[in-house]
Amino acid sequence: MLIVRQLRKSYGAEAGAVAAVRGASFVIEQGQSFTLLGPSGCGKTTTLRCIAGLERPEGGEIVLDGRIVDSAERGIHVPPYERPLGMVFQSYAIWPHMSVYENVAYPLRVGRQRMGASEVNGRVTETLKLVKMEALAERPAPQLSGGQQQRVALARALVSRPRLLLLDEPLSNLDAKLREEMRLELSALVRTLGIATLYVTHDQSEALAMSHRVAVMDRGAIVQEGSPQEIYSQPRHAFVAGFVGAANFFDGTVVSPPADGMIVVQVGAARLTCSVPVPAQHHAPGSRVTVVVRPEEVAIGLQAPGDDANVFRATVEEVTYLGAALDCRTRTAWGPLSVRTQPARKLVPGAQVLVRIPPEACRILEGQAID
Amino acid sequence: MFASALRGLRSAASLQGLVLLSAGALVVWLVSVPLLFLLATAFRDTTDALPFEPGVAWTLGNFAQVFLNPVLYRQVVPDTLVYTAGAVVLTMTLGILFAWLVERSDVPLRDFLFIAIVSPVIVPTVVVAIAWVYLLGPSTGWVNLLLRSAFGLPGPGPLDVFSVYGTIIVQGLALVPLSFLFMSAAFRSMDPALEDASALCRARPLTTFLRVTLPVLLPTTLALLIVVSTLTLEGFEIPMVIGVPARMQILSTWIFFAINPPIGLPNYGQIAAIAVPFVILGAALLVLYNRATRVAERYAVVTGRAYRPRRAALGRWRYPAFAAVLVYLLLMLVLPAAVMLAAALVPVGEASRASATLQPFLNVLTSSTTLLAFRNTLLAGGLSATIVVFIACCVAWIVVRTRLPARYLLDFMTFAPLTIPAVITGTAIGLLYLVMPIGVYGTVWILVLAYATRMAVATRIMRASLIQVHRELEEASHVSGARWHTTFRRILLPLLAPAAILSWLLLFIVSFREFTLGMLLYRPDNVVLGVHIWRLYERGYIQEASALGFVMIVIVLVVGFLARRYLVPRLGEA
Repeated sequence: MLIVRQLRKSYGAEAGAVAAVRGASFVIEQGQSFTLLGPSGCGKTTTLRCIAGLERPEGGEIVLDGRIVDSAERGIHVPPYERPLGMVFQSYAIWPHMSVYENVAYPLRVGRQRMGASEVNGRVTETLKLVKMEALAERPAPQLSGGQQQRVALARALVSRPRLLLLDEPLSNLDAKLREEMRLELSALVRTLGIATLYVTHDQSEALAMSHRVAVMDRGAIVQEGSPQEIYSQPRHAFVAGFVGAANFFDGTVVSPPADGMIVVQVGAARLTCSVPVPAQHHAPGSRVTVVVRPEEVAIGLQAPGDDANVFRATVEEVTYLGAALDCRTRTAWGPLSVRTQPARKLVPGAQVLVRIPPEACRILEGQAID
Repeated sequence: MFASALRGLRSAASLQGLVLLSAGALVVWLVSVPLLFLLATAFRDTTDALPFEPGVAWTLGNFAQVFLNPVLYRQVVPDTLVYTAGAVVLTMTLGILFAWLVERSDVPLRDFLFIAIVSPVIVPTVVVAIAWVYLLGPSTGWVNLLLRSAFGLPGPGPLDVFSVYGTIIVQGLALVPLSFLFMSAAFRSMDPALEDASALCRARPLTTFLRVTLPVLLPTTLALLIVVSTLTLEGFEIPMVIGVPARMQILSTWIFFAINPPIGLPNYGQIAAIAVPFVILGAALLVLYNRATRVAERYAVVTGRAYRPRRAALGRWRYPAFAAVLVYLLLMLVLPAAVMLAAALVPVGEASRASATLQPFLNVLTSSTTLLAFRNTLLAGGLSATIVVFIACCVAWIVVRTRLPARYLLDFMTFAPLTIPAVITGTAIGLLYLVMPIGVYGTVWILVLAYATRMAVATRIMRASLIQVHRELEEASHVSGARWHTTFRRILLPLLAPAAILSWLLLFIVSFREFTLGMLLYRPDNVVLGVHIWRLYERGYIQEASALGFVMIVIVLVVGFLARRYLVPRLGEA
């Protein structure tokens, strides 16, 4: 459906150019929802704008539905108005001088596939029904709420039945409750229509909830691509582990060779048993590694559970009540450790506790210790 | 610079490139070509010749003759400084005071006062200047006649408008609407929380005003100072009508008489030499202005947002303050209109009502010169406003939406005419088309070209308006399948229309009031209303001049009222 190869783009004058995208490559299959996830300034929006044709890449290739729409090397740049895609902008970009109906009808009236009035009418009504806005068709655009604007923007992007839908942070302008609601609705709609989507967001929970595949971007490059489960539970880089979800990082030295899928890592005064994926040849004894542990996978209690591997004494330093969970900052003899546990637990600062880090919760990162 | 601009434009769609390029070319032709021509002329020996006739040589003599002339230092420079400083102080003081009253005090009827202070701006200055002569002329001024009969004083006097003070006061009052608008916008967009914060730190109101309010408004005040100084320096109507009889030699009138010498041909090289320091000074002021406004923008506290201000209680000063604004309205609008009407109906000095007649109105309104002046005024105003709005839209788009390296130069060129006195712009344009044989000299078309240089304000308005139009609104149209011209027609144009209409109206009103350029480029065929009224007045057709002046005041007030009533609400909606 969409192939992006070695995309490069920078901003600014020749001298002080800032590289926005540095060789990003990925493929989106038919009907797949794909997410570019990363902090602001990581190049995800620039990538999206290149695919839409709003920016001209300096290097690499973009192939849309079998047609090369951008190739810096071959001097090809297809303008945005000739690309068969729909886009929902971050600001929604609803034209304030038109009604809801006129906004949605616009692509059918100006675009590649101009059609007769009755056909336009049928399509617009059908699409407005899809986003549940048919009752507000004649409403002037400035009188729409944020959520309604979002629906109109979506209808406008879908009305010409594109095979690829681009979404630029479409939920970021909504308040928390509405965002949740629209997220579910948007995923359901995209699934029903079966079109491919490219979704850009800095919100990891949106990314994990809405996509088949997630690519995490940092400083213009894709650092890891995979299913949401892979990204969350098997981060290969400190950046990914830190950006997607909360994480504890420990720097240590491998002390024993892999045995039964386990290695032992010396972290300060403590020894951590860590499970490793089967081919683990590059974790030779003596090599320095970073171990990442998700706070919610750490068990916390007053007496030692049955298995006593990876059990340490700790002091509770700070407790934050979050409603659905309890965040707890503890200190062990070898360093600080964040733990997330049940909200009903009675933990107070100063309490002496035992913590257990299951070996399968300890993941060895590929990259070296983060600085 | 232009090569890169061309390359940039060629990569864009061809129609888009063509439209933008033609706008850029228009700016260069209208602004840069006349000025460069004038600068070149300064170095030509033009005694009894045009600057580029065969046999004319390059020289530095013009500068020597102009700047070693003792009259310049004995009279022109001192007079100009006194006049400019006096008028600027007066207009800034009243502008800031009135703005504070309307925006930050509990003076009664604030909405009415706002209109009262602003409305005199649309009355042509030449009409106001003549009206003040009728009011305060030493021998037959109405106020003087009144004072003399009341106190049994001998004539002439006791007041004399033809004096340094008269010139300064009339000029200073004439610019009050502008400085008021400038400062009231600044007061309105200043977050009162800043002052509240200071009050919570236990600062007294005066301390807050001095330590918080004033410093925050300082950059805006500086920008205003620059604009008002430029406008005063280039002011021509009041120096001409009041300053010249008062034996003042102010730069603008000095240049005018150099171009229109009583005998012989004007020496264009010398006139151009006078203009050189102005152009340099103008460029310096422009840089200063840009810096001042940039600082004002950096003080993010003065934003475009409107706040609900807290108002100071004036106590027993409420009504005196209200009355002070009314006096201003009386002096700048009511009395001028009344005295114009009276002087049209009754010959000056004859207080008897028996001789009152409508004949002067009939005479002046049916004369062929008046009809020609009306036609020229409307044609030059309407056409130049249309050209400028087109340029402003294109330049704003280039500056806001593209990364062309030439955009800063283009922006600078559109803004430069603001700091160059109209007398010099008029001279440059007159000279250029006197030499260039394309047949516009002495016609209404040269006025179109001259008026069209006033593109600075419109470009700023369109730029501000385009910044409000989110880039994604255009991009959404491209992604929807629309090409540039479709996007321009169906998205940009409707969204920019309110600002474009506003700019057009402003330009049209400025052209309607225009006097300086009309005088400098005057030939019998291209007479405009301002020039016509002056020529009637100068040749002693007082009643006809007054009748025409009164008609002009009525026209601008009616147009202003209609625009406010029917257009401004619609602008507010969009």
